[in-house]
Amino acid sequence: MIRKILKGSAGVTAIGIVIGLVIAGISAGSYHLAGTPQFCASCHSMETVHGAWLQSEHKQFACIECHLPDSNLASQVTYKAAVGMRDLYYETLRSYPDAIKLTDGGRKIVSENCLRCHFSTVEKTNMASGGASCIQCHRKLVHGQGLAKGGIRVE
Amino acid sequence: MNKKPLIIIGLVVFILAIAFIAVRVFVFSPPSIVKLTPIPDGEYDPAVWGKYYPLEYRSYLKNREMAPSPTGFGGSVKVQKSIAEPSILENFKGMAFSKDYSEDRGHPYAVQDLMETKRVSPKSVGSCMTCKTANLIDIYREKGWGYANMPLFDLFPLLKHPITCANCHEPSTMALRVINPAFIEAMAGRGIDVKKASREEMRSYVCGQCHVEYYFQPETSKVIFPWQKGVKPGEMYAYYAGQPFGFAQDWIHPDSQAKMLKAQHPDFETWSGGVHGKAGVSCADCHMPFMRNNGRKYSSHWVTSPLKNIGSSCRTCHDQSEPWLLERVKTTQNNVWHLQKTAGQWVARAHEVIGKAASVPKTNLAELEKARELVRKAQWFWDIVAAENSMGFHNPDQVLNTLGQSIDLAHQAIETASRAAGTNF
Repeated sequence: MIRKILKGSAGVTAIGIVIGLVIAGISAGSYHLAGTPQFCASCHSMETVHGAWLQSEHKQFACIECHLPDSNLASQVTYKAAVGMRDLYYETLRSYPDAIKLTDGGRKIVSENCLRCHFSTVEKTNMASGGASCIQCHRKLVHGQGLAKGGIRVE
Repeated sequence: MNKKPLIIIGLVVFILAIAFIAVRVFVFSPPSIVKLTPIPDGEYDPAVWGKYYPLEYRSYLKNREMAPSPTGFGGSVKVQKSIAEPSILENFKGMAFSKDYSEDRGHPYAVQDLMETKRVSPKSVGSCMTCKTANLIDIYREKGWGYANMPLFDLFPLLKHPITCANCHEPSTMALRVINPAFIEAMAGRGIDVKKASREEMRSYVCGQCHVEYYFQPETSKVIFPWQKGVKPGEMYAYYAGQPFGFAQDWIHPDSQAKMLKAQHPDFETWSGGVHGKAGVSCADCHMPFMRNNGRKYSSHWVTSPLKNIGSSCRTCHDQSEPWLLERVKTTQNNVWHLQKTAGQWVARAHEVIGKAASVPKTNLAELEKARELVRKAQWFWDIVAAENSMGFHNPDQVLNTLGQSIDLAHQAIETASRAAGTNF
């Protein structure tokens, strides 16, 4: 009976759909998982920035709400894949810099995401005329000094 | 052709790569905690401590490096400062700093350089070694301040180690500590109990216990920091003007016959009023930045110019690029260097003019005495900047103000001496 179904072209299509759904489900699930702060913090290099974020006034927002571009899903996925590969490379080799800074592109993304909520604050000011970066002044807002409180723990 | 083996090999490589990454990132991630290994009290050999704290020790060994600093000012190459600033020879005439005033090298050389400098002689007192060695702990424990008046040469055999781990670390807990009794007393005099200091404060106090202005008390040779009226150049000068414990001068300048003071590396005082100091940035934040080795975070113990590691030091807070930050520091230092050289030259000229005025018959002695006081003050304001280790960067606005006062005072000294002699020099 099963063999008969498998032999039919409708069966092949059905199995294809099932496999496709499973792959799509796994992809969607892992994309969702990779967007949680817990996932970001699972890298050692993110320890201090995660700790600072937990104490910040923006702790209700996940990392990706500020650090992913404010655009459609396709470009978000592309961006996340690209920077994710880069992060994975440095995390595996443990060769990330002592003081981790945003790239120019990353800086622009964060600034644009500030405006998603705070645009009305600046829309009637010179800052809205373009080119201004929110985090040039408000740079310590979320991640503080980037220093672990109490420094290196000795136990 | 059969492509199966290729596919299998590819699959195995892929799975191995994933496993490697997973193990590196998630299973054996670098430790966040340093395991404490207590070191026996009285162990001053850094190599013994280094067995348990290898990253810190390896970076400490870099203090042996002798190299110029990235801006060209300071550095750890033993070179006479008078080559770049010849007025040093004029202004310290008649005292040891005109014989030998070389750029200082790193902490590991402290004892060696003390023994080799031409500034020490059989007459030198024990207090000279206060800041040069971890062995101070035992010497002070045994003799109290009594060591200060002993002949320095008698203490040399006790100086087995230079400035090492024990100068700043409690051996049983690795907590920060200060061992210089002069610092503890001076801070108590300002109402600060260093035993109650926070960790962040200690990250400056460990440096401040030595990188400061001081003098030796007459009779006892005890080390004292002149901080009772404050730590700004003018406040310290006012303190000395009161002749504490009968201390009137370090030496008398042979040309001007003025009673002179010698300033010593006031890095801590200068920094404490500057923008970084006021903002709570400690010495260690810039000079011992956090670094990483294989993902493990540690404090660099290579105590050197922060500009050698701009990415780890400055850029922990500052977002600008490394060349931009370096350029800012250079700009400050070049400005300070220009005025410092100018001040030093005018002070030298003032000594010369006062000397000439004194040789004029019927010169007004009261006016001449005023000129001597003015050159003493002018030189103090120049020296407190020139003897400092940052070429002004620790507190740019205060330092430029101090140099401005020095130049003004030197001109006043020249004018006063001319008036005393009734001529125009």
